Amino acid sequence: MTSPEGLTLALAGQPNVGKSTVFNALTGMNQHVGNWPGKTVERKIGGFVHHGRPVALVDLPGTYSLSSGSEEERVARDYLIEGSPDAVIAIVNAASLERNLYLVAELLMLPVPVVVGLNMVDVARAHGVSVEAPVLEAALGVPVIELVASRRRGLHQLIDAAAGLADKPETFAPNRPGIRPKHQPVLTEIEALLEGRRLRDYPPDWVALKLLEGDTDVTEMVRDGAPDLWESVHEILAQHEDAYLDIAGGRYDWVARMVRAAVVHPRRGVTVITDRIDRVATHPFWGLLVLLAALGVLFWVTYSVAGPAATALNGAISGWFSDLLRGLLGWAPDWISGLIVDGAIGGAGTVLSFIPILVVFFAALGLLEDIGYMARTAYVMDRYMHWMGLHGKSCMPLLLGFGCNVPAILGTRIIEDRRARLLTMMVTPFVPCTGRLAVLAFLAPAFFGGSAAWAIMALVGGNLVVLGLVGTVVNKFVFKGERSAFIMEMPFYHVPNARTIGLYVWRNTIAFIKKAGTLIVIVSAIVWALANFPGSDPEGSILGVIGRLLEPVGALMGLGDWRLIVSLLSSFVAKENSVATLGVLFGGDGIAEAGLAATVATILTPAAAAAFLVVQMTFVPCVATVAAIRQESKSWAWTGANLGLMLVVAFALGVLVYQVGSLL
Amino acid sequence: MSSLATLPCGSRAVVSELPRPYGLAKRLISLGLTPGAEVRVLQNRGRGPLIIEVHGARLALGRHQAERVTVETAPSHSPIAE
Repeated sequence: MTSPEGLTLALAGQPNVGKSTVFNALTGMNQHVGNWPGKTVERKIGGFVHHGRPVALVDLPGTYSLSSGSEEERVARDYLIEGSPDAVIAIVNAASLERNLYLVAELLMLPVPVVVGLNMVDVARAHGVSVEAPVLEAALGVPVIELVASRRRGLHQLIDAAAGLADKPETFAPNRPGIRPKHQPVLTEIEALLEGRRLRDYPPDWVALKLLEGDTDVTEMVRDGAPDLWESVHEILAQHEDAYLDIAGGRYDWVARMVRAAVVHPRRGVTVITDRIDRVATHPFWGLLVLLAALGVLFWVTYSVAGPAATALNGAISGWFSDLLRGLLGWAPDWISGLIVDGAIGGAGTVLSFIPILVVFFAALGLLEDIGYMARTAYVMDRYMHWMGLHGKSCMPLLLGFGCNVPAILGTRIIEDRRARLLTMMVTPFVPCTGRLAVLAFLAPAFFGGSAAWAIMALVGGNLVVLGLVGTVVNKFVFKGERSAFIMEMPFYHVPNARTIGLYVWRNTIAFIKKAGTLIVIVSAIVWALANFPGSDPEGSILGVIGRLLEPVGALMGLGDWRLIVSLLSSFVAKENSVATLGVLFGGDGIAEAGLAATVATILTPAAAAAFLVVQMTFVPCVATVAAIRQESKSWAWTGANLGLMLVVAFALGVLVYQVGSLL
Repeated sequence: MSSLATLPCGSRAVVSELPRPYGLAKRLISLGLTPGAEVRVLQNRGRGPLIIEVHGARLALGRHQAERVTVETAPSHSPIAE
């Protein structure tokens, strides 16, 4: 408990029950996002006041059960047992009540009082299902409160009920699910063996049940915590390996009894709205068209709204704000004001210019997820994704990558399976973003003349082929081809909730600025320093010297000119910087922009020109993408692996294209 | 006895056996696919994933996974004309 009269409530529920809508409606902006200690699972805690009483609401990860062994499930049940909240609120979706009550069946076995929030009664009604809350409450022996969380209906009563139980836990008398008679004797036998043992804070009857279910964590805990008992326990378990099927079956039997009286299906067999939409949205052909149309709209909004907004923001930062700062720093030596204004503030401008695009992309992701469409994109694309070991859900982030790799990386969060998420992150930077495409579009006409369009298409196509190959290889050798099973709920479509989407956009954008922003600013300042020390002459700068040192390496790709190498290196800050750097290095004496590409073309053979573009398309991602990978993977090792991977691929392809091209 | 993947669109069946790897079976169970559960096939085009209804919820299931779920077609239900 946080204070003598304060309450700590946990919020549980399967995915797609509107749990985050409940959480957001109750806590608003007063929420704190972090990670569960030592885990990669996100933890959200919010606060509000109920009848003058401070309430801390802990949002548990959305899981279908508490026994399939995922990290999310472990977090949820460890918190419920060891964090001892005063009560747990279980949100269920009235439209898929049977399946949702399975989690409630598991929650009731834990030593915390439960209140059920029966959400989306409106969606259920639209799908021809009506649920009698009082009947369900009588059957469960647990308070059941009807909710329409999107319209904040029933939330007050829900907290009233939870607070009531928290104050008088002795009044909690639920109808707990039993186990099928066949396995009752063996369960009793294990319970008897464990009697009197203290296994952390876990209730012994729950431990016995989990042992019989074959739960890996609990099995390990008993083996290590009670080694003297282990042999006899193990012997019993070995004879009942299939018990978990019966235990799960027993829970669904219990659920069936609970809902029998409470649920009325007046129009059973009638095609519901969801199935009608799905005939188009999940069709192998029409579904693809719907997906492309959705993307078309998204990119149109990005270019017409987010693009100009980003340019304006960046202009304001590098324009009047920088001038103002330079004025204020008039007293300082040039290198100090340069480092601050051009280096650090330039980096901050980069961070800020991401905001409009992030807002648009997160709003789109949040909207598509909230209405239930995201699962359909995964369904339609799964057959195309699965041969590289990717998940159907990998497709949306990858497609977003054409706009910008940063939201694409952040968007991989929709993939639950960590292995598939990491693999998607590893290949996303091969999707050419607008920055890379802009450089390509600028240089290709000068390099290839009339066949530039073909060259651009070949290069973009080449990137996608490389993406597929890298995905296949990494999946095969790093993840040993272990393809995560494609099993996914297809939620009922429903009307989106503006508050849920708004808070999703706000939380994720802030998180990016906070976590990735620092890294971007620091790296930008370092790169600026490298390019401007010891003198402002580019050739004598550290970056110029590095470029010269790398000339022999570059020569293997036909890029033996340090200026080309520095141009590639500078693309680490932002992909489109390649062109600006070339402009500085080649056009110092005021060559018109149009002339720049032609000037560069004159020093390159066709093979070297092709190699330059191939390397530019596959070179290490920009620092913002790297920061995003670090933020999402929470691992420097994977971040480094991605940098190394891209560097090797870019170099190998550059050498290959130049050497083969020179033979032709 | 046949696999879930062979059922035509609109047919109903009862799950009789789940695939062996324990982890996969547990995921299927938590999503409602237990032995004895009644399923209805909403989409099955002969290739690619399926959509089924079980315990009042809709699930997408990869063909590879569906092939490993054994079902018994319930004789009392005839496929519903779409």
